[in-house]
Amino acid sequence: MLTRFGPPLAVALLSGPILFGLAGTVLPAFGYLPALGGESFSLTPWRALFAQPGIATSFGLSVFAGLCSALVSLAVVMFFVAAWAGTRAFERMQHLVSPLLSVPHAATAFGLAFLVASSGLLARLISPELTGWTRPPDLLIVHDPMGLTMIAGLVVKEIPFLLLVTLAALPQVPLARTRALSASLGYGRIAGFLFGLWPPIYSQIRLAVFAVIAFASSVVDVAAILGPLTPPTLAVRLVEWMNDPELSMRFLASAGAVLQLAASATALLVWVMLERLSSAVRDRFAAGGSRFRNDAVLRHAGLWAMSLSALVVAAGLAALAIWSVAGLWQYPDALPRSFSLKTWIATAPRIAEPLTVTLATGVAATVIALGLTLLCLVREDETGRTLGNKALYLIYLPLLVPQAAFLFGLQLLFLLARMDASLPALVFAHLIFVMPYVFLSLSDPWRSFDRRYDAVAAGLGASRRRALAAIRLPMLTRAILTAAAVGFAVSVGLYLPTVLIGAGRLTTITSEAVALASGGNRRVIGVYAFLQMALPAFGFLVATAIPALIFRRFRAMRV
Amino acid sequence: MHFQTADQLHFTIPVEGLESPWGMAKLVFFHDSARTETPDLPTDARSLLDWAKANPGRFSYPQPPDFIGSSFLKQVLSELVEDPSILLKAVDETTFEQDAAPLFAYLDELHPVMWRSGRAYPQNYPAMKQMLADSEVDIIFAFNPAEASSAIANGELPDTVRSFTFPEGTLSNTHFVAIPYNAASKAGALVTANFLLSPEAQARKQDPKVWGDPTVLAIDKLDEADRERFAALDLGIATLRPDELGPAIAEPHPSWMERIEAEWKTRYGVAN
Repeated sequence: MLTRFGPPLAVALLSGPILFGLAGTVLPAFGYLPALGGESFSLTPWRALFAQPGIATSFGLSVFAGLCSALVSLAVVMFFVAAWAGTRAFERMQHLVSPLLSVPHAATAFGLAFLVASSGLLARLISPELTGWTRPPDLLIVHDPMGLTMIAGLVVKEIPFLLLVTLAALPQVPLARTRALSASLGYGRIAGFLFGLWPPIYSQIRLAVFAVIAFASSVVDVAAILGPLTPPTLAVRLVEWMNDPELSMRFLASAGAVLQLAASATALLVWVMLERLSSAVRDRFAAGGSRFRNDAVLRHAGLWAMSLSALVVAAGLAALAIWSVAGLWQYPDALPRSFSLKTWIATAPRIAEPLTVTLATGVAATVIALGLTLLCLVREDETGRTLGNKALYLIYLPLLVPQAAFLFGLQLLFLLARMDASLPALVFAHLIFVMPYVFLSLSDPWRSFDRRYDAVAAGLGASRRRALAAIRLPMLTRAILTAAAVGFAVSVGLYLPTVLIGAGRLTTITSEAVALASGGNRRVIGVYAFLQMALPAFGFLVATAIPALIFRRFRAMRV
Repeated sequence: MHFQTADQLHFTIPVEGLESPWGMAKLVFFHDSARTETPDLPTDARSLLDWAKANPGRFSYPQPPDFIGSSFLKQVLSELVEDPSILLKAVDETTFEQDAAPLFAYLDELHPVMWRSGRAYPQNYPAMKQMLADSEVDIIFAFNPAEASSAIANGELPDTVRSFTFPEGTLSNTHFVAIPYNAASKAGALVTANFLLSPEAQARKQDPKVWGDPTVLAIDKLDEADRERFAALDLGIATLRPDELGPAIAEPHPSWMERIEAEWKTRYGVAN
């Protein structure tokens, strides 16, 4: 049957482009690229790379950003879940934070920049009345040399991601019983949770945390919008070199991409050491017998940090929306003097093409990813073998390898095959990143499907295929559409794959928005960022509306 | 064709028919007359430095290798260099350090009194427009004399913004279109280049509502109807008339830009 090809196809899709792409990056990094006259291996690109001013600072910034973003976002999620899991507040917060996952990174970063800049919305709200700032203070907030604003922008986006993967792991631990037990032994809520439940949860979300580190240490769009400038992070400089009209810079860029791989690996290595250290600290505290009962401050800090992160994203998006319809809006006016649709009208003709590419690529990549995921999952049922831990690494592979490290090489391969800037190539590049998310979001509901329905169907004489088509797929409509919406949202938000494989000729809303970012025209950025968040939101709306419509007559299928 | 004489050199290199001129650029400064008094405005690079010292944190320039940022460096270099004639030739590596010393001495003085003390820079000139609107800086510049008028028309800048240039001259150049040697549709590209040169397209391009980029055509050589097109353009309140733009300083040889950009990156690109 067809399903036999599912797993090998998925393996090829997830590992093939990465292996070939890495090769296509590493070879030019050592001077081998016949198309540009690099016929023999040499260390010249590396010498040129290390001669770049501030390269060590860029490397350090990337490692620092990766570690800090993961550390802060994981700490917020950990303390929040430890203190509040199982409560009403937890459920409410969960509903509040989940939609934020679909907001693209770039849109979040723009929103944050509009909020916290020294002439930003926050300063305007309290100036000049409270601060006396008739002019914006000369403070370097956005683009600060340490990258703190960039890290903040990453943290508010990674918190929803880590929260959702933690939520998926939560049902697999005995929450209520452990809470009762640790409370009866006199432990505070947070200590009881961290000692009794966190280790098994963490081992489940560990790969997701690794993905956060790899992403944050190699991100391009957020770093370009919020990150330091003198010098920028390694990933931002890579893309500059890659886009240099001087073609020989490709060698330098490739060496830089390999260095990026080393930067992300360094961050991961430090993280693994931190893991060891913190588990030793935890064991020490656990063995010490302290109960940590007075954790009220920490509990509320967890809740506040979680609310603040959601609030920052929401306020940033609101600021974006206002800018897109703003007329003249000078500092320190808290609101524009006039509103107009001029920017929308002027931008509309230019939006049509990127919008079409965004939709076509997103839908195509999502449909293919969904089909492939279903083939794998059905195959899993047929053979009775669930993919083990190794397969999980494979699924996470595209999220663990820094994008630049293999996309450079992949772009080269597409160029050689004369496939660059074609829609199929772009769909393929998006598919590599869409596939893991679709698989991760569909596999849990699929595996927890009540198999007794299959047994009943078989008992009534239905074939396996019929049971699948008539029972399981319809019953899992909601989960399938949600997975599709997740996949589509991921595709909409992809920046680097679009820029490199689309070669600047196929542009999406996200690649256009980031290209506009440096121009600082907040109104136009507002329009693009608004679309950036509207598209995934529309996807989720469809994913909610269709099951509601289909199942309106089925009481047990309603939410 | 009816080109202006400047159209025959591209950054000191003779064009020799390899490119077709498209538009003119001239370095022009902008300020908000509601905030900055006109008599205080700088009249050359030196007085700009004095102005920046008197108004710390109120001036910046785009981070080189952004083209406009590098152009600012070339403006300062052209004004301060001892013997301007060396700029017309390729950089002489043996004397470069000495030749460019006045520029970097100038920047060493300017950066501490610049926006964010020179620890961050706008990424290009549109970003400076937003900074002027936000009161982050008081003097900005662009390579397009119509920039302010078109920003006022778009509601990006208040209608109190005005232009000024340096009486001793500012950098000026011509931009061209060219066809890559491996272009797929050369004939089509030629037709496009011809269209871009037509008085109709050139006049539309010079309209500040469209772009505001000055024409490369010599207006006095056009026929009556085409001259009318240009005469009918409303350049906007913040745009200086062509005769108010001041003398033009020619672009240095392209090797200067490469060298000072590289030097800038080493000296200031890694401030922290």
